Amino acid sequence: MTRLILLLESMSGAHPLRLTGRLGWIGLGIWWAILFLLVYVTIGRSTKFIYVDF
Amino acid sequence: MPRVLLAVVTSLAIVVAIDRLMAWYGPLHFIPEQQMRTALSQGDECLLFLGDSRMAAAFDGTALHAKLTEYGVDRCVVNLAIGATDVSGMVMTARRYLSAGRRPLVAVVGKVADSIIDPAPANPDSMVGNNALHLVWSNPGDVFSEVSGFPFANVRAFDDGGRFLFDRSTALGRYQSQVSIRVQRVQNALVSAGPSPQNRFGAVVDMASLEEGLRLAAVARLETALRPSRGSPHFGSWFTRFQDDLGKVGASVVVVELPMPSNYRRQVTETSQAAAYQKWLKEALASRGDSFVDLGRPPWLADSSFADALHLNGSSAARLSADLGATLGPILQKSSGRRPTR
Repeated sequence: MTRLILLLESMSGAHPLRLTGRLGWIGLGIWWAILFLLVYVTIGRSTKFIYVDF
Repeated sequence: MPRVLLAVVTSLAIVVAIDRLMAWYGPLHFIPEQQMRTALSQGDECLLFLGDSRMAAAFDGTALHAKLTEYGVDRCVVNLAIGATDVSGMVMTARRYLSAGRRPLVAVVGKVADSIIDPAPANPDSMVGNNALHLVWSNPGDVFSEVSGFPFANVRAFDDGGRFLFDRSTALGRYQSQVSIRVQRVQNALVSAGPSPQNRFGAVVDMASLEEGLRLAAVARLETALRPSRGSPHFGSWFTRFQDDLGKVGASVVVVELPMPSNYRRQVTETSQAAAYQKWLKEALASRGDSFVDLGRPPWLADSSFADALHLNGSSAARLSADLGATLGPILQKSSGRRPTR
């Protein structure tokens, strides 16, 4: 439980990250991209009167 | 290289890759783009149909071709009536079609009462759904016509113009509202009690509220447009641009008044303001060699002719398109005398 709390706190920026290898930093970049995409898909710019073929 | 740059480059690379994916996927699934692709494949000297969803609903290609054949003037027909757009969207659509090198013989514009009068100034918030065509089909220079007062009239104009330029510069920006629609569908499935009745234009209940909004605003818009202080032409700058664009390629314009249900007709179409506007419009079009056709109240029209508060149903669309063909027939016969047909 403590580890989960630490992970969540680290993800939210409450603790400095202790990244050592390149993979860790690449993982951080992937995480940033995921956060960007979460904002992008839920930004909510839509209208009732559209007919898109998705 | 500082290690934080590795994270920055990784995230940017992923975002750029997704942008490229949207640049491929977005146009394939954006209905205005689909209509445009079909339109451009039809060749030149066609009849170009434009307007909003009321024109889209009233268009029946089979009935139209049948009637044009009777007059011996049948030819290719291009349907670029795009729902949920206003006259500014229509102008952008026509410009896109013309800029691809296509040359129509006649542009047929479906309108109802005040619908070709300039809309309220746009901002990037309204460029969603089918109105994303303002982002997809625009040039950077359009910021001056799309955003009133850009760049320095006020802070709002500066902000709206900047957002317009930013949104249209990437596929992620241009097609974002399409992603929103999918996400909202998921959200609705999770929280909604059940789907409301829909047709191809959206929820039927939304059409009723849209009709109410249009009806309540129409007479005031017609009155404002006709004020001498507004000057002429009374439809404003967007339709004037449209006429100029069509005039440059030698195409004439036929404006068609489309039918609406009885409540709308009583409160808008049959008012003195609408009659005065129609009289002016008829003369203004004739002075440029263009035409006005009033199909707003054909003899067969009843409230049961409509599928919802705004749109004709299938059988009524066939009747209206036949009526339209019968009206266009003589106009095209005259045009054929002036221009070669293919």
